[in-house]
This record gives sequence, structure tokens and C-alpha cells, in this order.
Amino acid sequence: MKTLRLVVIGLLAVVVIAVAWRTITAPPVAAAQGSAKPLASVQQPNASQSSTLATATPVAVALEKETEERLGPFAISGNNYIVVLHKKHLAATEDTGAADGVVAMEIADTAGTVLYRRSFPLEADPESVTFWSVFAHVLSGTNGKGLLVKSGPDIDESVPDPESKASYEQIFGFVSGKLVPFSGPFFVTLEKPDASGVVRTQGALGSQADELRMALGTGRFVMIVPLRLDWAQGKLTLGPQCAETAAGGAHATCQYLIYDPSAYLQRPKAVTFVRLYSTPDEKSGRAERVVVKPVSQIEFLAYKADMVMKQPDASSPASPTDWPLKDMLQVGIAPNTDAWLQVRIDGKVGWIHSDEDLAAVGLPQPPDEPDAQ
Amino acid sequence: MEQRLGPFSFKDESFSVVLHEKRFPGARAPLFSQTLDTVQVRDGADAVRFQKIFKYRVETEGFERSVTASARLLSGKYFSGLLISYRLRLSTGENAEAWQVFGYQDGRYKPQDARFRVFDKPQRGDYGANTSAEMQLVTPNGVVTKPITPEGEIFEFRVWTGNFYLFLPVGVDFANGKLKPGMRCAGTGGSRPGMHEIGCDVRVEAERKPPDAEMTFLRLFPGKPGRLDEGEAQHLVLDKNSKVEILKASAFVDWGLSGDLMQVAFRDLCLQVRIEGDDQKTGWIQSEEDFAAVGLPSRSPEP
Repeated sequence: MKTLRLVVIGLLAVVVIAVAWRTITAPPVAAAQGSAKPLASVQQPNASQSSTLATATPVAVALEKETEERLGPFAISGNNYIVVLHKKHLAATEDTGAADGVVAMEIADTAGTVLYRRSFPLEADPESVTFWSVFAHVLSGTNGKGLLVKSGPDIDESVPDPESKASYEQIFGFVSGKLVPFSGPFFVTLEKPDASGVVRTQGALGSQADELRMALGTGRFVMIVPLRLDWAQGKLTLGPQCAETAAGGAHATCQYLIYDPSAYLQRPKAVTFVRLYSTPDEKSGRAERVVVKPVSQIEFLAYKADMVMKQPDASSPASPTDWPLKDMLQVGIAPNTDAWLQVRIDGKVGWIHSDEDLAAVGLPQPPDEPDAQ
Repeated sequence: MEQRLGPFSFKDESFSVVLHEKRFPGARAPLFSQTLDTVQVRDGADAVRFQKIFKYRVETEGFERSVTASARLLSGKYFSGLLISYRLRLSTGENAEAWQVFGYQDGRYKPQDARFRVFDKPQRGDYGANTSAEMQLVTPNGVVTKPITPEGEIFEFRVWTGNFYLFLPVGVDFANGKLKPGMRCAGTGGSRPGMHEIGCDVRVEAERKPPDAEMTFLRLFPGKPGRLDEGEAQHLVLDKNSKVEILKASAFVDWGLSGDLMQVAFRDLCLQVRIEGDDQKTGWIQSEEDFAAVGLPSRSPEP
């Protein structure tokens, strides 16, 4: 069914990214996650050794230089934590450009004990360089406090607010006396740090949880998916606002808000029309044909979809030889979902769900969507 | 009441079609005040060469159905015969067309078979009466083209689809006394692998009656017939002054038989149209709603 093309970009993007990253050969750094160990000391490469190497194999051997950056301390549940970024510099060669990026992120306590480690690739080839950036903040909610780590590939840190380019987030909190990840990385939420650098949740959900809002691209528009952040259990689940939410919050059919479409709405260039259903069901009666003009007022009110959340084993983060998002929390529209968008066109409200109607209201299928090829 | 059509001359003979109709005076609907009772094909000596009796039922306000018939000469380069067209209308609004082709079966192989007859309808799997007028012969001196007398000839039947007429090619195989589909179309793509049957492009005759509504809504598919859902339909709003060109139709053709009358049904019927003379607004339509939007609503054919 064509409406299935509305399948989450989240899931698609994960697949695309997976394919891309599996081609990367990660640097041979020993994995350290899963067992606490003292912080690694900064290693400065031996200049003469590097020089010898460069002479011995003059083609495409990059000089490597490793440094360390510490973020924090971050006060969480009465303890202070440091985020240590291990950064590497790859010097330019005849064939490749220089590259700088984080190759590992560690969370350590004040005693220097590493509690969590995640590796990132740094690679330069004749066509491109791949590098990652990492940022960290205290995440503060009504019912708890944690650590929010943002990351993303290929962020130009010389531009204003480079952190806004980060693609992924991961939340850590204090559960049963330990700092633990609540999930693997996931697509960034809409919450931004305030002037003091603290990221605040949307508000309380009951007595032990707070709400976060994730922006999820469908390929045609961006929906807002509420997430439930349970501080006590150390879990992220789909938001609880749907009556049909299944047990555990892993599966929910409900209505979601649409993120401000002004950035991606492609207004029709000529008069067209859309078929509006009174309810999100093709059997609800004949659809009303409503004219859409280039100057029409087009509003997206809600998106009704069956959402799923899948969490690969988050206790085993990516090692240097892994794809860096292998434990990514996947949030997306469930396969075979008949998802509907509620719109208001010049005051007329109704539901649409087919590709042609979405295109008619200014949400065409993106040309680079994988299933469009 | 008797009506005589003709004469129709072929093979040095003259034929007439005689229609005997029954009347129901005072029927509520004029359409159901008369119906065909008997059709006869008579030769020049007025001898009945074919007769068919139609059953009919009388209801309180008229006949249950109305059957009418018309006849015309099928005159080709190699074959001449008689085509009788029947139209059946039910009080429910349904209507159907059927045909009979009469002519002489060629007796070139068995002269005793050269006889006046009703030609058989196409069978499933039938295709292509040999209508070629020449044959390629491979000889020691190369390929030689030799004229031959074909075994069949193609005629176009004008068939009402419910919204417009199609011109359907029908092969008259006079060597074997039967009709055959005049075309069969194959192609690749879609959900089926390899070469397979696809709908055929057919010539259209359409008389548009622009809708009364100020504007109509058209879903124009860019894909190929049979695979329309592979493309995203363009939504066009038409007004009374919109220029609509009807280019051609595409359909699968299924031949059937109602008693001894030949019938045809169309599957996956769609129509190619061009709006405002714009090639970017050229595509296929297939639903009743879209046919109506271009001024071709479902209706009975003009008498």
C-alpha cells in the first residue's frame, strides 16, 4: 500500500546509516566498555616513530595525535561525573585531508573510574573524512536528574551552535546506586539547553517520570513523538498519551503533533485538490474534494499512527570495531500501519493518508527516499 | 410488428434482416413498451436462412426488458458479411450489447463447407486470424515474397463501454467460420515476471458533456495502464472551460457468449487524456468519478 511509504524515516535512516557505517574500518583501539577501569591517560605519539613510518610508507599514512577533553563535572543524585572525550587528529596526506574527531567518550566518577565508554570512528579517505563530535549536559526533570550526551557525525565545530547539528542523544541516570544508560542513542529531542547549560524535560508524568519530545521525520513531514523518561526504572518508552498504548509502552496507536512545517512545506504551484475524509478511515464515507490553492491556508493538526519502539541491548554499546549506532533506540511507525494526517485547508478539517493527497497539500515524497528509487 | 432491414448484398446474394417486435400499449416507460421477439435473416428468395426467438416476460407496467437490434454490412477487402448488433436494456438500468456475424465460410480446403453460417465467437487462447496477404518463402535464391489469399480480415466493432465507445478490432476468420480477437498485447513490468498479457491500446470515440458543476476534480495517473498505482496521481481541478483531449483507451478484452450471441467485457479500462494541451498534464484515468469529471459520466448510449 502506498501509504506505507510514510514509514518512519527513523527506521529508514537507521538502515541507511547502518549500511554506511559498516563500511568503515574502525581504529584498532581495545574496547573497554562493560568493565570499569581508570581513565586512559593522554597518549602523545612518538614524533620520530611517526616520521619513520611516514618515510617507510610514504603513501597515505596519516600522522595520528591523540588528546583528551573533559566536560563537567555534572552533579547527578549527589555524585559528580566527568565526560572524557578522547580526540584524535589525523594529519593530511597526499591522498587525504586532515581529520579531527572524538574516537571515544567515557563517563567517569570523581575517582576516575570509567563507568561507561562508547567508541566513534575517525576516518579519512580521498573523497571524504568522517568524524564525530560529542556534547554533554545535565538533564533535569521534575522527578529526576540525569546526564544527556549528544553526538553526531561531521559537525563543523567552527559554526555558531554546532551542538544544534547533533543527531543523536543518550540519557544516563542513577538507578540502584549505579549510573546506567536508559537506552542506546536515539534521534535528538526538541529540548534545548537553557542559559545555564541544563536541558529541562517537558514536565512530569506521574511521580517517577518526565516527558521528552522527539522530532521524527516521516520523509514528508516531522512529527513530535512524546517519550516517557522513567527515572526510577531507568527506561525510555513511548509517551503515555494514547488510550491504546499497549503494556510496557512499546506499541501505541495515537495522535501526534506535527513539528512546524514552514521549513519543509512545499506549497502547490497551481490549483489542486485534496480528498478529505471525516474520520481516519476510508470506509467512513465518500471523501470530500477540497480545493488547495497556492495561497491556501494549510495547517497540519495531528498525525495518527501506530508507533513502535525497539531497543537493542543498550548495555553493550558500540566498541571500536562496531557500527557506532548498533544499540540505537529505534522509534518509528510500525510496518503495515495505515497512518493518517489531519489537516485544515482554508478552514476545512479532515484526514488524508495517500501519497497523492499528501503531495497535494505540499508534502511530496522526497526524491532521495530509498523506496522511491 | 415487423421491421425489415436491408437488403445487404454479398457473395452475389442479397439478404434482409427481419425483426418481429412485440408491443405493450400503455407501458409506463416507453423504452419497455416493445421488445424483439424474433430475428430472421432471409435470402433474396425470402427463404429464412437464420432465425432466433427471444424470450420475454410481461410485467404489470411493461416488458421486463427491452431488446433492440440493428444490422449493417461488413464489407472488407477479402470478406463481406452481415453484422447484427443487439442491445439489451433491463428495467434495473443495466444494458448490454451482443453481436452475431453472418457470412460464408470459405470452402477452399473443403468446398462442401462453403456455407452461409453464424460465425463462432472467439475462444480463450484464440488469437490472430491469418490476415496477411503475402508470404515469405525461403528459396535457394533467397527469400521470395509471394502473394496469398488471407484466411481472415480485421473489422472494427464500435462497442459502448458505459461511458464512451471503443473501436475493437475483431478478426473474422472466414477460412474456419469463426471470430478471433483482433489483437493481443504483451509486455513486461508490474508485479508479474517476464513477458505477459497486458491491456491493449484501443481507439476511442467519446462525446463529452461538460459537467454542470463549476469545477470537477481529476486524478491523473502518470503510470502505464495496469500499473497505474506505481505512480503518484496528479490532482487537477477542471472548470467548464478546461480543454480536455481524449487520446486513447486501454483495456483487457474478455470475449463471452450469451446464448448464441457474442459479448465482450472490458477489464482495467482506463482512458488517456491531456488537459489544457499540456504534456505535463497527460495521463490515465480509470474511475467512474474521473470519467465523469472529464464529461463522460456513466450513461446509456445514444439510440
